[in-house]
Amino acid sequence: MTTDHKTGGCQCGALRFETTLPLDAVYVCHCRMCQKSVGGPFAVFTKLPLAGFRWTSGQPAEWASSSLGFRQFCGTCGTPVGYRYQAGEETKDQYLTGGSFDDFQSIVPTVQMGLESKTHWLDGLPRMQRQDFGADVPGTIYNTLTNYQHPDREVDGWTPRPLGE
Amino acid sequence: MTDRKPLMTGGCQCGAVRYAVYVEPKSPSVCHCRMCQRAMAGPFLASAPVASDDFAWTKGRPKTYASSTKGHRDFCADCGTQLAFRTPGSATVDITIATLDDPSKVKPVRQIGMESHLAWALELKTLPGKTTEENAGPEFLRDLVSYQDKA
Repeated sequence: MTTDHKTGGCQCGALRFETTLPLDAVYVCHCRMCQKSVGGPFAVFTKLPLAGFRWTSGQPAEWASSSLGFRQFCGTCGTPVGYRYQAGEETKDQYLTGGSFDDFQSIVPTVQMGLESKTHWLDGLPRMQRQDFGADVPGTIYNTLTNYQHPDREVDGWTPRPLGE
Repeated sequence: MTDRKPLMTGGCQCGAVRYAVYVEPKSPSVCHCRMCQRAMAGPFLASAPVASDDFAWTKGRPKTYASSTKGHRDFCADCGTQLAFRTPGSATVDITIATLDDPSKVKPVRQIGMESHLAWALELKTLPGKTTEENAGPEFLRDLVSYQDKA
């Protein structure tokens, strides 16, 4: 295992991947298409050559958000995991969302784009009221729940938890 | 519900799932917890709580994943967009702000899950940046055909 070895996947663990080559620069994209795709104010992406990438569990669902390429997500839990171009030089790369890496702490953006649709309240975050999880909830919900998400590491024989309403 | 006039509407990227909100959301938040990070594949979830009676799916229905005993996450099965968070048994739907047709209408007022927040996510304004056109060039935008829902 080299230092370039990283693992990741979706929230439920149906989709898992590993990377074995250095990642390209990590970037934040505020464009309206990335916002809509991930359901958040911006997407965090990096990429690497396909030669250093493989799905180790499952295959992503895909939707063509434009003529350029496909948004890749988990069909079981919806996590936006990646992007691939459909033509040209860029098809040699696999794009991955920063937050789908197990070690998200190591995925730090150095540049941002799509500033034309940057969300207005983002610059106010440093001053916005802060609480640890559950600090405002009696009985602290976080301590009483059972977490079904995939752990932030490889797990042999993991099975995603089915929905039980 | 159908005779009420929505205050806001929204939906997923492909447009298969659409929703309507009939009241002003109360106390929208940003959640940095590790579960929201994994669900969104980003540093946090930005969401706005609305009473279930003041919310309706108006087109299609989302697929749901139970990320814990206290969290159901609704997303579009066709395009993957994360649409809402619900706690089973609660009469509240937390919609993702970015899926509103006009997300500028809703601004979070508090942050939770600070125990797992990523420092850079609070300091985005310090990062160098470009617009899409500056980054990719005018040809990129001219040649791109968006398939995103136009709503």
